[in-house]
Amino acid sequence: MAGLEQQPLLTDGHRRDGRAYEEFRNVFLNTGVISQASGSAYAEFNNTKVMVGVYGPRQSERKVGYSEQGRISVDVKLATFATRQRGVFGQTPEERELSALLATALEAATNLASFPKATADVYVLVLEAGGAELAVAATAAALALADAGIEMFDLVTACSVSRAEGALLLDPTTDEAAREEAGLTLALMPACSEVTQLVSRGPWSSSQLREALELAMGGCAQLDALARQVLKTAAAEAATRRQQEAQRQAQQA
Amino acid sequence: MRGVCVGDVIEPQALDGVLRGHGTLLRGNSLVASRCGLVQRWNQLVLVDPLAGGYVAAVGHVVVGRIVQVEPTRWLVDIRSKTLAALPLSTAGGAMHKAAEGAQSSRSVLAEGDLITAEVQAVRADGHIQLHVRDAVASKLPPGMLVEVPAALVRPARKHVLHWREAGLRAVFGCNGAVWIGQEGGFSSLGAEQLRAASELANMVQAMASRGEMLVPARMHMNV
Amino acid sequence: MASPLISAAEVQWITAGVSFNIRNDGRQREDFRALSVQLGVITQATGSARVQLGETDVIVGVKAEIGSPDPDRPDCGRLVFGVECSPVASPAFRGRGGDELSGELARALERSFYPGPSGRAGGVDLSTLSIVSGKTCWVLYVDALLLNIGGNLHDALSVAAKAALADAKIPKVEVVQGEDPTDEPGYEVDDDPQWFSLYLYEPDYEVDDDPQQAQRLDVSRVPLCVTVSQIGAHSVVDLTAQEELCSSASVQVAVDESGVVCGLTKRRQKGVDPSVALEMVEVAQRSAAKLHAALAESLGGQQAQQMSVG
Repeated sequence: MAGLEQQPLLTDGHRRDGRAYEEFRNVFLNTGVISQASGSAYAEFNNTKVMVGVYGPRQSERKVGYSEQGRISVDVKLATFATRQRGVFGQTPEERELSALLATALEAATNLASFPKATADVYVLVLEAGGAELAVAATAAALALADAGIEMFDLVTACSVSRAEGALLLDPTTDEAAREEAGLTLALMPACSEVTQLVSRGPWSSSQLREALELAMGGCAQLDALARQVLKTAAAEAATRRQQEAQRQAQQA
Repeated sequence: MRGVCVGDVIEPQALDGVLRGHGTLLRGNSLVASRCGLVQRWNQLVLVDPLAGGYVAAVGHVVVGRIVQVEPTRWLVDIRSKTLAALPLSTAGGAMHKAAEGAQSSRSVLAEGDLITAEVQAVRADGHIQLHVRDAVASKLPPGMLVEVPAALVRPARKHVLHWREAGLRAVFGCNGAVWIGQEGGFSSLGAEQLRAASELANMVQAMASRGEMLVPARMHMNV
Repeated sequence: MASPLISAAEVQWITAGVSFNIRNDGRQREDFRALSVQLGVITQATGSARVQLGETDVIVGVKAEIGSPDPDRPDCGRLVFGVECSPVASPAFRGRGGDELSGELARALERSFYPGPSGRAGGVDLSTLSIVSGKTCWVLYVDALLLNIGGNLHDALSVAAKAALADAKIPKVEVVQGEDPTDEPGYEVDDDPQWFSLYLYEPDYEVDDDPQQAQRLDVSRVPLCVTVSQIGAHSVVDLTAQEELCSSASVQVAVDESGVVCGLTKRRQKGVDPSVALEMVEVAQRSAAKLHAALAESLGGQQAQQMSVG
C-alpha cells in the first residue's frame, strides 16, 4: 500500500486503470434527470459523477440591473462526500473559481440575445470527484442547456489532458492529475471549432502545448459525437411520434 | 420531419431561397440549428420546433397561469415563460372598474396563488407579455388541480377547454403546458365520482406527457 | 411554476379528495408512492444510497473517519448528520437559502438515531465504533444531498440514511501494542486505498486491504421516519409538494422494525387534539411496517448481489 505513491503511473503503454494513454474512461451521458428543472443532464466518467440542473431563463431579479441581453449564472458545488477528504458545507473558493471558469465556457456558446432581460441559472453538483471535474461539468452543463431548449450557437464539450511521466494522458483521474507535470482543460464548440475555455497549469513548451491541444480537441470531438447522439435520440423519437400522430389524424379525417 | 440538435447543419447552402426561422442561425453559408428539435419547412421558411424548454408566448394562445404578484395597476402572472406576464386591470372587464374606483381591492378579485385562464394579447420584442381576459372574476379557476407538462406538447387549437357537464368536470389545456382539471363552474359540491374521474384524467395526461405524446384536447374527449 | 404558491381553490380540491380517499394522483390516504433504493452509488464513500420516492430524490453518503469520542460517552463512536439543500433541486436554495431546511432535516435525522446515555440504544450500537476507549473511535459522517424535491423529504431521507449505513463497510482496526509500554498504541487499519490519507497523519497506521475483513454495521434496529399529516380531518402519509401546502399539522414518527416508536416531532403551525395525535401515531406505525418491508426487500436483493460479485 505504502508503495503506491512510488509506483509508476504508466506501465507497458497502459495506465493504472488499464486504459491506453489517449482513451477516455467509460462515459455515460443522459438528459432529463431532474423533473423540476427546465433542463438537466447527468454525466458519469467512471468515478466522476456530475449532475446539472438548468432553471429558466426567467425574469432577472431587479438587483441585477437592466440588460438587453440574457445572463447565465453558474453555481458549482461539490457534495461533501465527493472527495476523499470529507468536504465542507457552503461554497469554497475552489468552487467559486470552478463556477467562473464554467460560466466562461458556456457563455460564448449561448445565444444570450435570445432571452433579453432574463437569467438562466445553471446549477452544477459534483456528486463524486474522480478527476477532470471542470471538463465533465462543462460537457454536462452544455447538454443541460440544450435540454432546456436554450438557443445555442453550438454544443460545448470539454476534456482534460495531463502530462505525466513524459506522456500525454487524456481524461486524467485524480491520481494522475495529482502527479502531473502540467495539465490543461479545453472547452470547445466542435462544429464551429471555437475554443470557449482553456485553462492550463504547469510548464508547457510550445510544441508540447500544440500536441496536448490536438489531443484535447480530438477528445472533445469524441464527446461531441456522443452528446449529439443522446440529444438526437430524443429528437428522433419525437419525430416518429409526430409522424404517427399526423397519420392518425389523417385517417380520422 | 427531421430531428436535429444544437449546431447541426440543416441547409449547407442557404444563401437564397431559404428564410431563417426560429431556432436557426447562419454560420457562413449554411443554416444551422440553434436548439434541439424538429425541422419544419413552410415553403421557404425553415425553423426548428423545440422539443423542450420554456414556453414561448404568442398572440392568441390560451394559457393557464398563476398570479404571483398584485400591483396597483396590474397582476403579474407566471405562465411558465421566460418573463412574467402582465394582466392589466384595464383589460380585466367590469369587475375591475369597480376596483379602480376603490369599491373593491384588486386582491379581492385575484390574489397571489390564484390560477387563471387567459389569452395572450401582445408579446413585445423585449419579452414583455400582456394577457387578456374577458372577465377577471370568471377567469379565476374553481377548485381543481394543475398538471404540468412540456409546453411543446400542447398546440394552439380551436378547442382548449373540455366540459363533462354530467360529471361536473372541466379541463383547460393551456398552450404553456399547464393543464388544469377541476370542477365545472356552477357545480356547488365535490363528489367522489368527480374526483376519481379527475385523478384518472390527470394520470392519463401525465402518462401521455412522459411518453412525449401530443395532448390534443379534442381527442382527449374521446378517451375519457 | 416553481413558486410555492397555492390557491384556495386548489386547497379545497385536495382537501375534498382526501376526505373521499381519492388523492390527486389516485392514491389512497395511506399509500406511499413508488420507492426505489440504489446502494453504492458513490464509490469513494464508505457507504451510500440513492432513494427516490415518487418525484423526491435524495442521496446519502457515509464517510468514516477516525476521530475522538464524545467525552460523555468515551467508549462509543459518533454519528454526525448533515443535510445539504442543493440549488440543483430548487433555485430557492441558492446561497444560504437552504440553511433553515437543512438544519431542520439534519436534526430530525439525528433525533431518530438518538443513542441514549449508554450509546447502545437508538438503532446503531455506537460502542461497536469505538477503537480505544476515550481516545479514538470511528466518526461516521452521514451527509445527505437533496436532488429533487417532490414532498415528504423527511421520510425519503430516513430511508436513504438507513440504506447508506447498511451499505457502509467499516474497515477493521487492530490495536497493536507498542514496544515501549509508555508509547501510545499504534493501530492497524484495513488497507482500502481510500484510507490511504490516514498515513499522512499517522505514520504508525498500517492498513490491510481485504474487503472481507471490513465489518458492516448492524442497522436492523434503525428506525424509519414516517410523516403523518392532517389534511381536513384526515391523516395522510407521503404528501406531494402540493399536498404539503394544504396540511395544517403533521407529526414525524420514527418507528423501528418491531413497531416501537423511537422518536416523535410535531410540525407545522396548527395544533391537534391528543386523541388525533395518537391516531396519527398508529397510522405511522402501520405505514412504517410497509416501508420497512419495502426497504428490507430492496437491501436484501442488492447486498446479495454485491456478495456474489465480490
